[in-house]
Amino acid sequence: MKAERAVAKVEFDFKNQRGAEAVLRSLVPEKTLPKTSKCTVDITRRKNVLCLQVDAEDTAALRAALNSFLRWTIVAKEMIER
Amino acid sequence: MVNMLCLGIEGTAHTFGVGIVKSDGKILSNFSKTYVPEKGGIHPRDASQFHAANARAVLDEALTQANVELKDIDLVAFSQGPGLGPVLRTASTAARALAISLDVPIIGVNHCIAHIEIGRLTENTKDPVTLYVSGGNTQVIAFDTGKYRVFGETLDIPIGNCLDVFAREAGIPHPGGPKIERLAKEGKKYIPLPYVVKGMDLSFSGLMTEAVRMTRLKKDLRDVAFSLQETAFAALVEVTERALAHTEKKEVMLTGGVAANTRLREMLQVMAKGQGAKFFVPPMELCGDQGAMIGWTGILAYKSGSKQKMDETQARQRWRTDEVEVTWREK
Repeated sequence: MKAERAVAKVEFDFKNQRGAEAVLRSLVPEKTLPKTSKCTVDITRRKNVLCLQVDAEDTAALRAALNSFLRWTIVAKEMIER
Repeated sequence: MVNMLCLGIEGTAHTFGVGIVKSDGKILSNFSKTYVPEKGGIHPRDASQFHAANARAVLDEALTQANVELKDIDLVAFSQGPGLGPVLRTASTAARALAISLDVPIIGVNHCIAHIEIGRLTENTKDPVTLYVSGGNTQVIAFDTGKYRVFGETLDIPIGNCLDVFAREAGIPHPGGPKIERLAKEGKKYIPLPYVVKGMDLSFSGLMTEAVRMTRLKKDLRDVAFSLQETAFAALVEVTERALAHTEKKEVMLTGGVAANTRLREMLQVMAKGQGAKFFVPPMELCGDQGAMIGWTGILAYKSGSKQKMDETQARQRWRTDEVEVTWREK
């Protein structure tokens, strides 16, 4: 049985655009995943909202990538916002 | 900038640390929190989660202890490698976020070299042969023509890992190292165990397996601990002595978490004296993983002209000591 593709979209509200931009830039180097990776990650900004989208070949890959990027997004956000 | 302030972030294995260091070498603060697994060894994902959950609290405490504010920071340094992938990526993301929001330069530092540089700073050593022993690394390192060269290293598990795994298998609770040392002091009978030095490299996995087997054969745990330490440390001292003789350096430095072991210190001290070399061990709070060593090495690298773009700050899980161009020392 072929696993279905899985997609997750998460949005983070920031106090201001500057904070959202800083977190976006801090996450960009992590977007480059190995060729063997089963997912792609897209990070964009809409004013003070950071948009994270993970496309994965299956739900296991989606869960792994999403957990990692949520962790990094939160740590980056906490470092710049009290 | 006459006297810059660097914030160093350490995150390669179980410790997340932040150190704030001035470019004159003064350490203003050095605070860290350490992940201790409920059982077994470090799980990279759990350690990474621990670091992320504690990062801001560690940062705030380091700032408070240093009596500075984030706006006073001129440079952010971070441990770029080597280490556990998920853990390195958490620390590097935290460092990037800080540097971008403060609009200050960022610099990635090699964790192993940071251990040497903080020791050179506090012990005022000029050019030591360094034995770096921890749970994740075992290397004999010395500077030569622009790089820290690895003269000998473990071919399998690091010595700290050897001691930790032995402790777990023998039912000795965490932290195993100090408890093995206490037991070893009461050991009287040496049990022959595999002594493996291959050229200038070391191997501890066979030694560890055999030591565990001895405990299953109901040998006295004190004798096994004594024999394990004597065998492993003799191999470490042999390789360090040969590196010292080959390089003709006049200083030996011991660092890393296993530097806490007094028996290892004693054996190295005797060897150094025999070779006419001085022996140094940095204060124990600077031997283990911490942010101050990252901050200080970041200052050295930055002041000697090293610069990094954001897309060059990706974690380097297998970044070897001898790959780093040491721009802050004369060739």
